[in-house]
Amino acid sequence: MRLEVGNIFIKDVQFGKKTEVKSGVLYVNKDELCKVAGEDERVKSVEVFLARPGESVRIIPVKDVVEPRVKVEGPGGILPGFMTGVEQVGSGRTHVLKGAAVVTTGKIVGFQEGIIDMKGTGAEYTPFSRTNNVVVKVEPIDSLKQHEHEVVVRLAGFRAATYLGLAGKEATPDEVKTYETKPLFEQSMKYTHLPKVAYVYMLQTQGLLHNTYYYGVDVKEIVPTFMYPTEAFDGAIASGNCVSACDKNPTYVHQNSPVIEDLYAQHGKTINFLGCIITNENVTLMDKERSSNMTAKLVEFLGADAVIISEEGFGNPDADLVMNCNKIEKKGIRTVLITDEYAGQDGGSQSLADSTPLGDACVTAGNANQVVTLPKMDTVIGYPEVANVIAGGWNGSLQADGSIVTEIQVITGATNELGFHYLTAKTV
Amino acid sequence: MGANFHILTNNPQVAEKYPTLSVSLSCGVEGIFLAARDEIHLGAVAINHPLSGSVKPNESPYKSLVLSLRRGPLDIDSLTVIESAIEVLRKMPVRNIDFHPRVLEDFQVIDLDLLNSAIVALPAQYHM
Repeated sequence: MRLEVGNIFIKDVQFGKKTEVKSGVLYVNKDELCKVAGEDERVKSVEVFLARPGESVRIIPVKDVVEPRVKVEGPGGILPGFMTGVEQVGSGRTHVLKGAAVVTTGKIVGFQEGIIDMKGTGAEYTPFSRTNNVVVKVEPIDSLKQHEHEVVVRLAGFRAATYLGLAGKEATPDEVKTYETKPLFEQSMKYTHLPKVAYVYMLQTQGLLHNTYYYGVDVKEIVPTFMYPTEAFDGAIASGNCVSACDKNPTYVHQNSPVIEDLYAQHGKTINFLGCIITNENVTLMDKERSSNMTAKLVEFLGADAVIISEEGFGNPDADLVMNCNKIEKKGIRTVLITDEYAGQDGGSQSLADSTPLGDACVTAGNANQVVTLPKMDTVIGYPEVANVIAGGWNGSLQADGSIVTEIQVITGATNELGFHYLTAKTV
Repeated sequence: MGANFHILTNNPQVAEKYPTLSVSLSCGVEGIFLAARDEIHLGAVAINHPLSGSVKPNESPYKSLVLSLRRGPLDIDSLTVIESAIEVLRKMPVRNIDFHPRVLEDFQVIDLDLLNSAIVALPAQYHM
């Protein structure tokens, strides 16, 4: 499967008469976008705002971030199962408005989280302070229950991103990247001198506000399965996961899945990247046993020498991570784990809820309990009053001057477990 | 024949939906964890993970745990997971937030939904 990704660099976003890309600027027809995003009888109103890097703007509470993409050649469309049919995606050509993002905000439940600050300390902790954000604020009709409300906000974001993505259909990309994975036997014969590496891609799948979808299917309903890596770039994996902000994977992160990107960068050089296994993180202990058994089997079936395993979330997914690690290692296949930590505000506590001596190669994305002060912003998009009850905050988090003292777990993407971030630590 | 599992819960929505399966306890999350640990020491098996969901245990005041009624030899896996959950809870700071009743209802809905995910995926040896 071969996919060309054409990146159209977006340096700025502005409202305009027509939705189009001109000289690196994404112009957005606000009325049209509101209309498209609001095409659902369960939506009462939609408002659209712009938030650019460096502006004194806070977006709260953030539900999802989606990248505008469009299919220009090949089968299927972006976000299959939601915005198009269920044809297999991941081949042909896809255009991306690189540097633009749709951010959805909506008060689905009374306890809230998900902050994007475009400036100041908070901006350093979220990768989405560097994107030109089109913020879609969705107000549902009265009396809509929580389950439907989540669906309504999620789909409004997908429609908005699809609409904006169309602006890239006729544009000439600034760069084109090509990714290719051959069918398994062919692929494994291709670089016989290199270690064969697969990617175990764990997805949060527990229930309301904790779900992830593959071609529109709720992933807690599947058993682990194979995926061509390029499918992710076309939105085959979509997020319905709203908590915790720091270590959930927004749809944007799946579309740019950084582990896949990095494995492709080494493909044919230092490794032979065979493909992905997607697996779930369900609530019952038996589901965890079943899925980790199947994951280990599929890794063996691929003939991998090593795997990268990424986690989504904290707490019970630590059990899935440890089971996956143990069972794959016991087959003689080496693992590298990516997780984050809840090590207490002083960083001195046990980081994970489970552990294993076989997990001897582990990458951390940071301590979600780390406390920061987010300065007051001039503009707040969304619902500023919810800062009083944000997850990761406590009684008194919101200061009289408008600043917020809180743990970084409230910040969207602060400890992203796919490593989608600008912060890093290096040994010098 | 009755069910061969029960639900330890402090969530009124769970007790309402599963009146014959629920054991309602007037306590916080730690109380539910400790009651579950007691049962596990007496030979019960944990069916759902006590840290279900990404809503942290010091954040939501509600918790519902599914345990077998079977009393067999000590299930060390169940004991390990409940002990580590207690450890996680105790290291998290007390938040002291007086939630509005509507917010409490939302926490109840989330806890119920996570519990429902466990009930629909009950291992075959358990029945209602």
